[in-house]
Amino acid sequence: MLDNSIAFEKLVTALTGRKRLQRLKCYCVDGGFYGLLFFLLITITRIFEPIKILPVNNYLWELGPVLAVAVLLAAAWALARPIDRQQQLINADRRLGLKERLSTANEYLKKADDNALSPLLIEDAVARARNIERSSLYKAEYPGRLKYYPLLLAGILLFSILKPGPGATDELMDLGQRIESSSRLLAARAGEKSHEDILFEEMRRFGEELQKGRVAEQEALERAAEMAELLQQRIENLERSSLSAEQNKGVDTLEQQEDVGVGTAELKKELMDLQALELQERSESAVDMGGEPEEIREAEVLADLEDLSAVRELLKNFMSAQKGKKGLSAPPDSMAGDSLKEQNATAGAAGTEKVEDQRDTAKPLLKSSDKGVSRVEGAADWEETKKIFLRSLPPVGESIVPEERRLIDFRREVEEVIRKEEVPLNYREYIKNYFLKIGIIEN
Amino acid sequence: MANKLSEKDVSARVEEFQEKYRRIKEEISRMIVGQEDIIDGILISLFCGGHALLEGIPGLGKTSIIKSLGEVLSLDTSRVQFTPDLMPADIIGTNILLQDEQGKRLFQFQKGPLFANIVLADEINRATPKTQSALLEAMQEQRITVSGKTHRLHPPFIVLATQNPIEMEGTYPLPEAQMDRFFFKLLVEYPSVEQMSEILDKTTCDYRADLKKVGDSVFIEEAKELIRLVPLAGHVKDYCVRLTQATRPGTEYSSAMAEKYIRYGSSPRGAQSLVMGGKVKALLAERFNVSFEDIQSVVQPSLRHRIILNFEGEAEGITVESILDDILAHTPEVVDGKKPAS
Repeated sequence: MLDNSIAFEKLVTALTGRKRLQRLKCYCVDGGFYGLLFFLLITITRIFEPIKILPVNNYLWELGPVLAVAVLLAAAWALARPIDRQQQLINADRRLGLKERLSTANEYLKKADDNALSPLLIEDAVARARNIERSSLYKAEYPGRLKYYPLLLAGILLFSILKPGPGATDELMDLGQRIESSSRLLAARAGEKSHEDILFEEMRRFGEELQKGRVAEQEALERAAEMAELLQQRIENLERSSLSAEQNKGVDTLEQQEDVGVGTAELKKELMDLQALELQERSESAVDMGGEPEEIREAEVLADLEDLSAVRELLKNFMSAQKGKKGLSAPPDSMAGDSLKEQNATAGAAGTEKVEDQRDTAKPLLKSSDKGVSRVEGAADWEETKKIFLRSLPPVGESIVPEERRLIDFRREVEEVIRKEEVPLNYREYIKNYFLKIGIIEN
Repeated sequence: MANKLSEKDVSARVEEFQEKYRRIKEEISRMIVGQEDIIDGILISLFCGGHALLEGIPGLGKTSIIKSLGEVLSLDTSRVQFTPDLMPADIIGTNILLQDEQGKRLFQFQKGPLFANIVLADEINRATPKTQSALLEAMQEQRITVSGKTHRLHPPFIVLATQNPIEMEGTYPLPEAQMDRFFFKLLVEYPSVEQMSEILDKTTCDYRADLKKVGDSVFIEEAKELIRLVPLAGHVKDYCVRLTQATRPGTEYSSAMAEKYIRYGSSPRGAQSLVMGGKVKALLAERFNVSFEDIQSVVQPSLRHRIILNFEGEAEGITVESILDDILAHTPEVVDGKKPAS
């Protein structure tokens, strides 16, 4: 009887142990199944929103750890769950056709002394179990979800291909944030200017895409480098233009006059003339102090004949002569170069950054054929935006202030000058007629 | 008994029971052609200490089976033909006035036909309820009280009643209380063609079967004790309970058919019959424990007479047997998340 009880106990232990192994196997397979399912869902979600599980550059590297964690959790759960011994014997009875021998024997194992038939039952159960092949006794359970593994893996690979590229690495996220903040800075500086708006929009979008990991790393780095270069160039130009506009208020270079169109060039030319008239007034003062009034009179006649270039030439000569006599300086031909020198001198004195003359070293790409500012409607991709932006870049040192604004400023100044009666009385009519003629002021 | 018997004694008794049971059936089969299920049912009722109700048309060998059984087991057999004018005293006995040699008169109890080991109550539904109920105390308590004096019936005591299902005029259907006291209700079917041929050979020729005595009352009493020792697992017992519960409308386990057509379900005696019948079946199958199959094999004889159909069931001609089949099909062997894997 004791032998039978021990044998029965061994049989039950083997059955439950095998069941534990089977459960471990099935749970691990199930855990892997749910891990793959989870990763597939994450992969699909990443098409719309970046989700980062581990700090790796490629999403697929996360599959291994996710799968391992899922399997380990399932294994832990399988080992933690208790095994109902009686239930296992009931199942074994059913499976092996033992007609409840094992389960009943297990129940009567501890009360064998109370029931005279119990020993016979246990002996019978052990004998029956021994006659069964071990492969049948410990039936292997096929983990059903294993067959879904290829499907899930294929799905993960497919969706990974549909959504290529790395995740939002720390480097790219940092780069994106910097570009986005730079775009805001540019937008703040550019004001209403259309090309800056486009660049700003492009940079902002690019920054967001970088942070969301929607751009491949190599492409992102190249694009960011180009964008950073353009941005730096644009900011420098803006600063330079702003500084130049401050210093050359009302005056621009003669070279630029030849390049730019009629409106702006003529305005600048007239400004030169206005300065010449001022010098003429000074010369009158000099005459009063014993100078030569013939040249002035000749200029008056020429002005009356509307030969402005002759007037200017006459006055220039006059100023040169005056310079020789009284140390007065005449306006140079090349105002841009002098202006830059003066600007750098001023900047050096103020401790600010010097502006270099890049006119001769400017890249051909930067030479614009378009004059003025044009507005571009609609969204453009990066390449298109880059082309537009490069075309819109003005030559170095040229003001980017629109001519309309400049005209308004100029008119205001002219009117103020006439109103304040700073112009000598006998020249006032000429000046007024001139500005009336060119349409700067109205009668 | 459990503590008194050694493992060898028990094993020997089991073997003896199985052997004698087989021989009893063989001997009866010499007299009775076919009807093996009926013989099994009667024997199981006998070894479980219960009574059996045999229902079938006349001429199918019910009386012959019972007579043969008494002869094979060396038991006292009596037969009572129940008629409407049969009185209780006719079956249990009565006190008669006698006069001794000195001329002194005294009452003496004259035992009725119930004082036998096997009582054949033929066509029991023809007797009045008064006479039928006279059987109640004898069947349940195995004793008879007459004029304030109790007389114990000698074990084994088994009532084997028969009733005719077709001639219902002038009959008194057995009251539910009395029906519940029968361990099994067995339906005697017509013999097959081959069996009919054999019956003709044995009854129309000069054939006389000399039945050998195989067992006796002592063997039957020992077998009764042995059967009670057969182990019954908890989940099998739970299955018996749920089967019995399923016959009662409004319970958790009752099937849709039971809900619709049953007025009253089985009493706990039904579950007792299931378990005891299953135990005998297990021993006969050379097993020391009761299985689900053992229980299922005795569901029909154990429960069919304990279920009362409602009007709808009667009107639609629903049989109790079909309801029990439905209950068997819809009652799981194991519940509470412990259903065995198929």
